[in-house]
Amino acid sequence: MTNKNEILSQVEMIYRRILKNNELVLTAETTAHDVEGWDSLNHTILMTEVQKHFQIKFSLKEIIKFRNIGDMVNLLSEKLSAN
Amino acid sequence: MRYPVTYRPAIPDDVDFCVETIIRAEKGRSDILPYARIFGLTEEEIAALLKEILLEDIEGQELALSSFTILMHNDEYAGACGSFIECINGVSSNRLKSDIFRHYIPAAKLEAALPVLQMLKPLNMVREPHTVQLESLYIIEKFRCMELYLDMVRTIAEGRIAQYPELNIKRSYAGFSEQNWFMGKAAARIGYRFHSELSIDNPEALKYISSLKRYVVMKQH
Repeated sequence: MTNKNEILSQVEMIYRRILKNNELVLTAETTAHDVEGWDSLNHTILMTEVQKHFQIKFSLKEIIKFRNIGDMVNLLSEKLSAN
Repeated sequence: MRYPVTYRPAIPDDVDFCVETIIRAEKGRSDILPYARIFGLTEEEIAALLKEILLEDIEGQELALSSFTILMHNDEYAGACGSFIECINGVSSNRLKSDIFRHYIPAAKLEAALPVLQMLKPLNMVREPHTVQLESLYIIEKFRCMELYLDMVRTIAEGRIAQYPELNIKRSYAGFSEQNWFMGKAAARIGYRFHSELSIDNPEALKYISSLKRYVVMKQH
């Protein structure tokens, strides 16, 4: 599964579940500043859940470069294509 | 000054002293090392992790070797202080630290620590982007005096501002636990003013940290 829209939709489901917000809408441009509850603590949980869900691992160097959801979706797409 | 010092950026050979600085600063005047209590690790394990993290040198948060300035008196360490620019690469220091901990702390320990981190969340500073943040201030006891402490704070804050003229940095911040609040108050002599108070109501938190309050001071440059 490398379709970015599909990946984004699955990431959105994970975020909705962890942040307990069924109305949450993510776009490629969404950052932590835009999402209530996406603080450093929830970020830890979110990154763990995203990796678990897609069965991939982000390296530290990769993860610290994420500026927004789009950066994460792009990397997920690359990693899933490579698998 | 009783002991004249020189300032220089930390180099990899200083990493053990930087680890010592973080641990001493975290403990403050107590024996509680919050990182060890929160993650259920020994002080030795935390020191080893901090060493790895510092050498990874991720800019934009305090746990990076390049965040540290070393104070030398002749050939002897006199102290050290961490400082960084918040959101220098567009990512908050809190998020960077969260990524770092998720990477370095064993998963089971991290998972067990999540409720504790949740409890301690009110003490997390929300930091203003593109400002200087001072962290882990430490002077070795025999060199310790107010004059040197104030010189260190001023020199390091001004040094960071001068390092990034393109960011037009206007403010620097430092946070102090309740026990070390006298240091925050003393910083008024070099232009720092009370900015905010962070606190936790739950005394259970004292199992993990030595103080339920944290004070933040700010200077307009």
